[in-house]
Formats: sequence, structure tokens, C-alpha cells
Amino acid sequence: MNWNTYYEIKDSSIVDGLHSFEIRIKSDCDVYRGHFPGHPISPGVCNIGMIRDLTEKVLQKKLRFSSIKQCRLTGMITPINTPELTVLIYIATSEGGCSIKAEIKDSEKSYLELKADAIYF
Amino acid sequence: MLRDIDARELIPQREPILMTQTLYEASGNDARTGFVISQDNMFLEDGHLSEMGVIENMAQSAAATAGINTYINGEKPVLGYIGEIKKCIFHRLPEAGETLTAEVHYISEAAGVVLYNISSHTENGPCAECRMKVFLEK
Repeated sequence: MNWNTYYEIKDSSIVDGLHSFEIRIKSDCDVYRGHFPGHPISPGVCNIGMIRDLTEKVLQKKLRFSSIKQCRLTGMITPINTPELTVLIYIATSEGGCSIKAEIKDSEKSYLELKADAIYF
Repeated sequence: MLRDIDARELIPQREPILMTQTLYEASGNDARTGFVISQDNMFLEDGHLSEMGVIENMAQSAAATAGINTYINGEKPVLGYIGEIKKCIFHRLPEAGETLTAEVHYISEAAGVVLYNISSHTENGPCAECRMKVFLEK
């Protein structure tokens, strides 16, 4: 998937090793034709993919998840109601890969929390 | 026992993100689904289905399994959401042309949340496994 069609980065910063991205979910992404017809909801897997894409941008390396220890989806993200979001990512690198802890939130609530391991490829 | 039901009868997802095609069979609260990975699948990366595609196949297979009772009652498919994914391990990412089979095993249900163990494989070996909570919109 070309993640540029799914979201765009508006701003980014790093404080004490925590990467923070202000992003916007694009409403014209092709995925909404099917998820769901006439009722756009951002797929959980696309938000997980967005976190991998942002981590790749930070590390300047291609990644593949080897495991997702836990991913809690606690709110519904839609390109209409919640397009502007903050993605927080903490990355611990090791030989051959990294561990990722991430959260997607806005000022109102948290939508997704992810703990995963990824490998470089 | 139910056999060979079109997934579109069970879940509301459609192209380009319909990631399971057929519920091969269901017995009790368990089921097995099949999905041929097409060359134009939106989750393909360098010829392989990405981790996100593999997860979505398992999620839609679980939602289809959860949708069987709705189908039996002759009602339209309801939206099923992933609530939580745990202990998801990727063994191998399948390639376009392979047939992805997902085995969905019911664990428990409480307050409209159904817990499943799911594993997937193709003719070339195991792909992934995870535990997933599915919320059904009533």
C-alpha cells in the first residue's frame, strides 16, 4: 500500500526519544470505497501500517513486523470526524530490528495503542 | 454444518479491502475461510502480502465467523470491529496467487465482545497466528 494516499504529516518533533507526529487522515483514499460503502471508517490495520511507515521514516530503513505483542483499538478513527491526530512513537533499536511502542490520540481521547517488534529487511 | 458461503453475505467490507472470500465451513462457533491473493491486492508489497494484509484477513475471517448467526437469521451483515490483537506472530508473508486459509477458533464471549484464536496458512506453509477481540455493532 502506498501510505501517502492514506495520510500526510503536518508536523513532527522529538522530545526525550519520543517521536511525535501531527498527521491528517486523507478522506479520498481508495480504501473507503470498501470500508465501508457510504460509511467511511479508517481500518485498524491501516493505522498500524501508518505507524510502521512513520517508524521507517524515523529510522530511514524498511521494516517488517515480526510480532505484534498487543494492539488495543479503543476508539473509532474516521476521515470525517477525526482527521487530525497525534501519533506518538517510542523506538528501541537492537541488532537487526527494533521494538516499537506507539499511541494514536487527539486532545479528546486515545484511539490505538501498539506494542510490536519489527525487523529490518 | 454450513459450507461455502460468500463472505459478502457475512461481512460488510467490499473491494478494495475485502480480504476474505469464502467461508469454507463452520461448525459450532469455529470456522475456516479462504482467500485467493490477487495481483492487485491493495496490501501487496514487493509481491508479498504485507503484515497488515495478513492481519486484515484474520480479522475479517473472525468477523465472518461472528456473523454466521446474523446470516442464519436472514439479516444483513453487521459491522465488526477489531478491539484488540494480542500475541500476533508472523511466520511467513504469502505471495500473490497463493490461497490464504484462516482457521478461526472461538474462545469466549462477553458483553458483545467475542474472543478468537486465529491462525492462517497457505499451500506453502503457516503465515500467522494471533488472539483477537471482535466487537459486533448491534
